[in-house]
Amino acid sequence: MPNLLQLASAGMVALVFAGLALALSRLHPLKRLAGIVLGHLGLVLLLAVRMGGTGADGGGTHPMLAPALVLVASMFAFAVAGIAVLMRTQEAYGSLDAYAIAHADSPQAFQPSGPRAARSDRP
Amino acid sequence: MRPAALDLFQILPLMALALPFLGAAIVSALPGMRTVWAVAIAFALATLALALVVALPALGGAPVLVQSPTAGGVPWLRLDTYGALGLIVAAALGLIACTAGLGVSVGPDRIQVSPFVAALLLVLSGALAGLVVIEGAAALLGFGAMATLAVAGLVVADANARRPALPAAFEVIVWGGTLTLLAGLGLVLALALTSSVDLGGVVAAATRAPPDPSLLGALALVVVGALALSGTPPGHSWAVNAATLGAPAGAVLVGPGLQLAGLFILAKLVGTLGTVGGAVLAGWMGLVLGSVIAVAVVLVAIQAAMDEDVRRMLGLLAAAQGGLAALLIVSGTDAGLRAGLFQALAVCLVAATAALATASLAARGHVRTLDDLDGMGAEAPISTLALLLAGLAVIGMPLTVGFVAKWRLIEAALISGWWWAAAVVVVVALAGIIAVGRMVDRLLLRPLPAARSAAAPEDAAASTALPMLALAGLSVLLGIDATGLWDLVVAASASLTEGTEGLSAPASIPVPAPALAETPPTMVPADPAASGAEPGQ
Repeated sequence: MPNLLQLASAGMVALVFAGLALALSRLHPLKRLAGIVLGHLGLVLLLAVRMGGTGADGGGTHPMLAPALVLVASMFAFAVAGIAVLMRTQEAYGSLDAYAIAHADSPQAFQPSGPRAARSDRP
Repeated sequence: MRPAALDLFQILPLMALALPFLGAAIVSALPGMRTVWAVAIAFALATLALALVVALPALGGAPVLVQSPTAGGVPWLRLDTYGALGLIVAAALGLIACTAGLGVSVGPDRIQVSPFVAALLLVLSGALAGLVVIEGAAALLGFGAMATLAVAGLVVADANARRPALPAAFEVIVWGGTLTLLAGLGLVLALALTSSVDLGGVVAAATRAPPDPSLLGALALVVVGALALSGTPPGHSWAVNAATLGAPAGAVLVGPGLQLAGLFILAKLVGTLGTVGGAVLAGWMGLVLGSVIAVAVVLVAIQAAMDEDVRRMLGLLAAAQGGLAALLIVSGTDAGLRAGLFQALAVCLVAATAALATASLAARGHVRTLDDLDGMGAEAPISTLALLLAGLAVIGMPLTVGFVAKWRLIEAALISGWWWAAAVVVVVALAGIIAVGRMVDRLLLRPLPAARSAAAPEDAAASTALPMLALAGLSVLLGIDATGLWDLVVAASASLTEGTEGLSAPASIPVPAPALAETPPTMVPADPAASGAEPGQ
């Protein structure tokens, strides 16, 4: 029977995959960005769970501490960069909704060629 | 390996890694684009010089392992032949991007770019170098995130001029986050399963027989992350858009640089996993990965042949070529690893030439579709020459590096028993002929439209033309004699498989005649036992 630690770990892994699914979806860009943050959170929590489970090593620094800090930094960096790009997008498209509608449900959405890209290429 | 205490040989590699970031911090505080350009070139040049100083001994067979001076000695970075090669190439790409790439955009009558572009170029070149040489798992994640964020910044740098760059930049951020998550999850699981902090510890545990299935599953996530980072089809869309829609100044690093870093990490994973990894890859996992990549590569090559957008066509061609390298690397054999690494370097060289040529053509005016190339051959002969040489290398024309690379790929595919991969190489080359043929037709055989002939600014400036021609010339030189580079690649793949028993050939496939598996003599006086003997020899 799985113990609490294993259940928590599995939950965190599920959280990471949920974040991934959200990030790679064609939903509203803010939701996709939230997916990346969610996935990072899941990963940091997974590390925390594993850290609690394994304890500190002989050197006094836990081996998982560095990856956890890097992941937290990376989460903030992606969130800040994403928000910056989305703010510029909002300026360019009028609203994020307009951008989301223009690029929804089409695998070709980001191609420069084709009628849609030609339209969005307008200054 | 050198002793654990931090001596000069250990501080210099760390400095070579830190210098671009220091340069980025300084140039982002400087006023005036000309000053920024000069300082960025100075830092890129110093980085390359330092990289050469620390990497040349490693190329000569004296690896350096930099580790923390505390007891326990956590490894920070490893400069063996593989790491040294990666460090030099990343620094060289950084210098080319800072001189030629920025040169496209800095000039009296050219598009002005933000000074942050120079800083981002330096950050990206530093991050690419870090991705290749770093040993710590946390630092690997950090450099990966840094690289993708720098790419997003470069894509969006002149979004005022091109609105589609905004969605492309957002895609890069989403994919960068996804890669960090995938690779992070794999690394975290692998670290938790093995209680280690570096890749070496993970690999040591993974190669212990019998292999732990959950550990191999965790490593598979890292492999998928590396594949996506390199923009290998089917996960190529974001990388192609980034290279196509981004600021021309960053084109050298964003496309070819990121692709090379991803392929190098993939090779490192496959190589260091050694016998067990090789056996797993030669089994179902390699076959599944290989067949997915093969189908996607063929489709992307056909898409490239049909595309009307010049930069996108070249981006798709580069993605297909990089996919060939990934295909052979995941075949899990020594021959595949070598051919894949060689192809990765060749594609990087060729794609960087093409990126510079298209950027310098685009800087002269509106060049987006193939129609815009009409008559450019007479109007901009230098850029056209570079673009044509790159195109010929892409299709594998003899006397270019592309021919040698394709030869090695087909040879390795046959040695690995993946004859269908050899067929994929041929199909991709044929699709390339169509794409490049259409480009040649436009560049050389069509007259210049009357509307454009009035405004005829100069061809590429010297700062762009010289590096561009040097790259194109190198591609021809390597086509005539690639022995030196091949020896380096053989030594690099040997340094990856060092400590393991080398990768295995699939047991069920008969090993072909030794004539096919001819290995040139290595110039590195490496231990012959560790150099990974070719299967069948």
